[in-house]
Amino acid sequence: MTAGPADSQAHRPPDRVVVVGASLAGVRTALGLRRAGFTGGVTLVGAEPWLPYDRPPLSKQVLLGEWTPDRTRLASAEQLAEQGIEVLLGDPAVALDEDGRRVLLDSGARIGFDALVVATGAAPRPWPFPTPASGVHDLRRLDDAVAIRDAFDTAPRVVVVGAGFVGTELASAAARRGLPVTVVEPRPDPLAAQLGTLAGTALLDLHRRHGVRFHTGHAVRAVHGGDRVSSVELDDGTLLDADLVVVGIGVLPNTGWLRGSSLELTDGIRCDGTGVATTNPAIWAVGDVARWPVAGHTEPRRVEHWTSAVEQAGIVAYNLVRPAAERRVTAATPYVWTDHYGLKVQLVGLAGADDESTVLHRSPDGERFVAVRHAGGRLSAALAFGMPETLPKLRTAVRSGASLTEATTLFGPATTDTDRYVVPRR
Amino acid sequence: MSLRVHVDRTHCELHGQCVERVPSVFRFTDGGDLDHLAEAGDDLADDLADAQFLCPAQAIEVGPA
Repeated sequence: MTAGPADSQAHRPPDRVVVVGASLAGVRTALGLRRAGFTGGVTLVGAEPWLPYDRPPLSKQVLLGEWTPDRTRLASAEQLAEQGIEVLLGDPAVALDEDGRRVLLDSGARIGFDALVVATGAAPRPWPFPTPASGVHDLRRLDDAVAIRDAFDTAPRVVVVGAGFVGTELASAAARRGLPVTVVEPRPDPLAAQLGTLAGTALLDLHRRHGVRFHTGHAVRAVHGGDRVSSVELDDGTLLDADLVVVGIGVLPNTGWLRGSSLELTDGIRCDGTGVATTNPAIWAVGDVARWPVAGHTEPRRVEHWTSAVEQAGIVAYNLVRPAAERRVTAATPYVWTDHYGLKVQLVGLAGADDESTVLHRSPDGERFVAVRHAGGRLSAALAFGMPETLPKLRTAVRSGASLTEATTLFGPATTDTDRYVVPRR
Repeated sequence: MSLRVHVDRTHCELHGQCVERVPSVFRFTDGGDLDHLAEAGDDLADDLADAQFLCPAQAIEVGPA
């Protein structure tokens, strides 16, 4: 039998791939293309002036002064040049010409592509009210982390707005630096959305034992100060003195430059499981800006995890050089971690907001534990609270969709060796 | 031919991504420490490269034995 018309056309990879966004997902896509054997042109476009760097250490090692900012770098200029990757930094993409297959940059440059990978990430949710000229920071970029780290040296009274991972990690770093820290969070149960009420409460208790104060259930009404911030006012009238205010109230995907395109942009670019945009087969998206399918959820959703960005970059690089029939789809179980006072909380899976929590195993001192999230008797997620060695079992259980009954048999009785689960400190 | 595998323990944060990806080379001990083979066969080169990419701490080094 002779090959049909479809078979006779050998797959032809794109001649030129443009990756917009020079952070983790972007640089890993560019490097991954070479690893996948792609020999065409690769251009990496970055809005920020720095070479690609890693964000998780910004709220951890960099704030603590354990790492210099250089150590967050994900690739050197030499390495990118060796790989034949053209790098354009400090030049944000401002528009997409979809029909002409060109990206317009802020400098006026127009970059043509055969395939476009959007990796523009996310930006801090904007403040709803005016703020003093100095002393108020976001924590998203390298310069934010350096500014906050330097501000720590002036012994400020710190107020953190938002008790998510970034806000509480910042509180941990500030408290470890010996600074007075108050965290403000409008929700009554901080971290419950991320970890569930049980683990969220345990993490808050850990913070309180380190002297961090919380004002929960109250939103910020105003930030006072002239040139410099002086206080934060809550909606119940409470006035918190502050020399340094850091805001961690979530992020929004950077899709403004894509307005007017065919792309589905509601909370991130909607993609299929291979990473290609639903409305244009020449456009792909990875990382915080992308909305991919997630196992166990009907709608694609953004997952702001380091490991998801890496997985998506690997999949897109692989798929870009292959015909549609050979493409891979996402398979990994979401994984995220957060560090507090040397204790690591690790979460696998993606729980619903109302899923229940059950503790499977606890250290003798009660401070470290393993818990699962579940709904209808099935696991949706699991978390290790200072017990990293339990992760492989937890991953397997979550991935296989184990029942709660099965999960309760995963761990034996608690050990009597109190040192056994101490998380190594640097 | 084989590959030398090294984990920089001052960088390792026990995320276990490598244990997940290449369980024939990396494992957790009962005590919760990371343990790994010092050498692996060439056939694992791709898997080990994946493990390097997946390591949030960039702690894994792979080179010729």
